Amino acid sequence: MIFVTTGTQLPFDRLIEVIDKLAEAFSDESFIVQISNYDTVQVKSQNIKLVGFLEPEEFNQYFDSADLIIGHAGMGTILKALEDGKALVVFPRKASLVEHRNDHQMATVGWLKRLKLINVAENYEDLVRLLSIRFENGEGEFIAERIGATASESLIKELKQVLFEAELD
Amino acid sequence: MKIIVIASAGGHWTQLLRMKSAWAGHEVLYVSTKASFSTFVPGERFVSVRDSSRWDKIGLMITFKEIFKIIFREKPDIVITTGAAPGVMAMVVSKFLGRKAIWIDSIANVEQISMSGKIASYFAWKCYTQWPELKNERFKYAGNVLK
Repeated sequence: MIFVTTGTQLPFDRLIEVIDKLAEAFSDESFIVQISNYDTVQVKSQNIKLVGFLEPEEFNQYFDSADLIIGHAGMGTILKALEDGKALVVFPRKASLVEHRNDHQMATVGWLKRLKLINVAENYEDLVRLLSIRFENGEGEFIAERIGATASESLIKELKQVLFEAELD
Repeated sequence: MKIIVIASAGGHWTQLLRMKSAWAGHEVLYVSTKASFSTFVPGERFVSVRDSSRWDKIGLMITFKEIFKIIFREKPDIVITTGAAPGVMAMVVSKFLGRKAIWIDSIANVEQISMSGKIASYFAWKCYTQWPELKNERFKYAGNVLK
């Protein structure tokens, strides 16, 4: 099963339309697509199920049982996939298409790509290529990394120090 | 000390929780924008506030009122946030009510400090960016939430 996440705040029709097309090309796979409560998009494929905002427990259930996550470039999705060592493809929102308030998702994927932590797709062809590598032994690299459960030690140490300072005041 | 830790549901919240060992042992109230997110912090005090962003002006006013009530009632020593808009409001309210506030800009802001962060820096006691290239007189760099 492929779980697609689009976040909680804004519609992402372009991704959902691409997934609709993808579901036709990969008709053996089932897709669960989480959309925000602001989306009014329709899909044609029979193997796609649209779900609205998911409470944490439900979200985790879908996330954990998926073979692949395709997500907008939200840090929540990315951090969870990295923490769980889950196969992830990130599809960033673009401000020019009014998919987000600014282009920070494009910047996010830029540095995550440089750190070789994620796979990035910006269109239908990218997704087809990555899914072929992942599911059909296609040629190419599919990144699947894992990170620890906490922030860097230096940041936590800094915050502890600052709280200690505040206590003395 | 009494600490309020606040973040919008989603990536801001995920990042905040990755730092939680920093405030372990203190009296903590967690605040987010979805009631069900209490399940992320079992056994801890949790309240939710209405979500809003710069594209929802009326919502912002309602969220502001809710955050004001919480901080006024709780009288925390410190308020810590990773954003987004509700986090900015918590910084403004904290300054107004004489509470120390800490802003940690989201790791997603790699090219420049977020608009929220820039606003928050006029009200917060300490501000952090998660990218060394972005540090300046108002934003310190001490690491990031990734590793």
